[in-house]
Amino acid sequence: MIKIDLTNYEAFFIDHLEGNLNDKETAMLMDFLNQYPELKAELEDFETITLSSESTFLSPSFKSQLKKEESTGLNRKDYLLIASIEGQLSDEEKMELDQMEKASPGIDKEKQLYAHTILKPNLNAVYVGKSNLKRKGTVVVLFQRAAAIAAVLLVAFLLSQLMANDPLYKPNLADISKIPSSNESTENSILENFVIKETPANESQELQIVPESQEIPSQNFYAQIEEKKEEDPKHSTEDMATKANIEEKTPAVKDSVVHLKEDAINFDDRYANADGIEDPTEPTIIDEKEKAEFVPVSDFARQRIKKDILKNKTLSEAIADEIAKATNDKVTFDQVINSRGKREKFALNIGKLKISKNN
Amino acid sequence: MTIKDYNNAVEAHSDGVFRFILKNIRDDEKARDIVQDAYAKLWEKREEVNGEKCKSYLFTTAYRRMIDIIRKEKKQGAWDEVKAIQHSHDSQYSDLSEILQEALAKLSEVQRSVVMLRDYEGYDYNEIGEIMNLSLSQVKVYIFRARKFLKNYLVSIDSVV
Repeated sequence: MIKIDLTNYEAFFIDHLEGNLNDKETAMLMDFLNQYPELKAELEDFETITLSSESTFLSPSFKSQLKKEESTGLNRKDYLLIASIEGQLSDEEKMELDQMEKASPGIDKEKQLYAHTILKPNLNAVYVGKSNLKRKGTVVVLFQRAAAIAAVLLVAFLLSQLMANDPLYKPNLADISKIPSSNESTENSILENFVIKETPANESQELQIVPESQEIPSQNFYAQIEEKKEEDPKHSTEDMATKANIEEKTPAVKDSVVHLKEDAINFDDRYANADGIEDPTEPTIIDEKEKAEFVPVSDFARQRIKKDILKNKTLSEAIADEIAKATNDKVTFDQVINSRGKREKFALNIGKLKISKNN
Repeated sequence: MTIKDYNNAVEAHSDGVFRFILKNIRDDEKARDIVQDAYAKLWEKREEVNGEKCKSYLFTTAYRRMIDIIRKEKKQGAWDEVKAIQHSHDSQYSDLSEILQEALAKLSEVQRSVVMLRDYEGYDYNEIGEIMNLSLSQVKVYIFRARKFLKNYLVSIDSVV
């Protein structure tokens, strides 16, 4: 244990005042003071000297400048200045910055410097060639397609109308609503749903088309035919049959009455093609007795259409011509027909539009 | 998005995207390619992108494309903090904008992009975060540090001049 003497007594005084001496050391200190009574007054002076705690505090603004922002790592002053030009100050932060500016006028210059860091775009730097980025609509293409489709439908409609307007082929317009609807083309529905009968021979021979739904008094009709033949035996519908004989395969009949009984007008799928008129078909024969007297509807129509409407072109050629006129584009149509008369492949080109089918 | 909306987006935003990329990549031809790529992407996705969101989509796409190119070419410009004493200046500066452009070029690409989106295009922190795939706090940090850097650069110029 260290002995107390005149060289180290002050340390023992401080330890005594702070309560760091044990009992033995305290007893030693008291003994020392008894030896040197004049040092008792000095110990009393140590006890009376204390510092005011307020003078050790730093001002809050000073402290805040020392601090670092947790989010950015910047000191508080820089953070507040940047936040002010970013528009990110809260009300409390605004007040704090105001106090800081009042306490330190030099902050205002720094604030101006930060304001200068806001970038302004150089409007002279522009992207040249915007037109290359833009896209054009597909209206033109759609129009071409729509025009092509419309042209096909128009031709089909015209064919049907021309057939209807033919003096030898006059439709008896029935109630359209009674005509069964069909998903086939207009042309096919006309062929499927109308029965064509020929009025007896006279100068103004008229072929009347009656709807399938109407009953055909076959007996009276045949009687009329016979009567007319008796009246004008020279007349025959041979011409009509000849005209209707478009294809070589269609048998020529002398006395042709274009009449189909109801059960004979159920056209099969051979007539279902849009271009079906061209397909070689066998006549729809009712029975042996009527074989020489009837020309199938399709054959008759085929003959008339080929001569009057198609001008002896094929239907494909005629339609291609119409489409070319409508679209003002070059139209080509190529097809491959097999030995059975079925179209195996086709390619339709309307300008840049191409439609093809390979079976 | 209709074709009309798309073409309107070309008129409205192509310059802004171009400037943004050009400032970053500092290559006119590459910047134009990136703009074209961004619009091509927008066209592909036009049915999925709302007309109102096309601007941020363009900037996002262009920025990411730019990053891909930069990484591919291994360009780096990572200056998180530059002390004023480290600057060297060879020429006299005529105006503040020139000084700022030089300072901007010395920023890292992330900081540069963030500041440009903020000042050139007026995006808020959330929008910038979406474009650059950063969190809100990250955007804030980048902006604040970028501004500190730019300010120090101005001070250094002032002291040198």
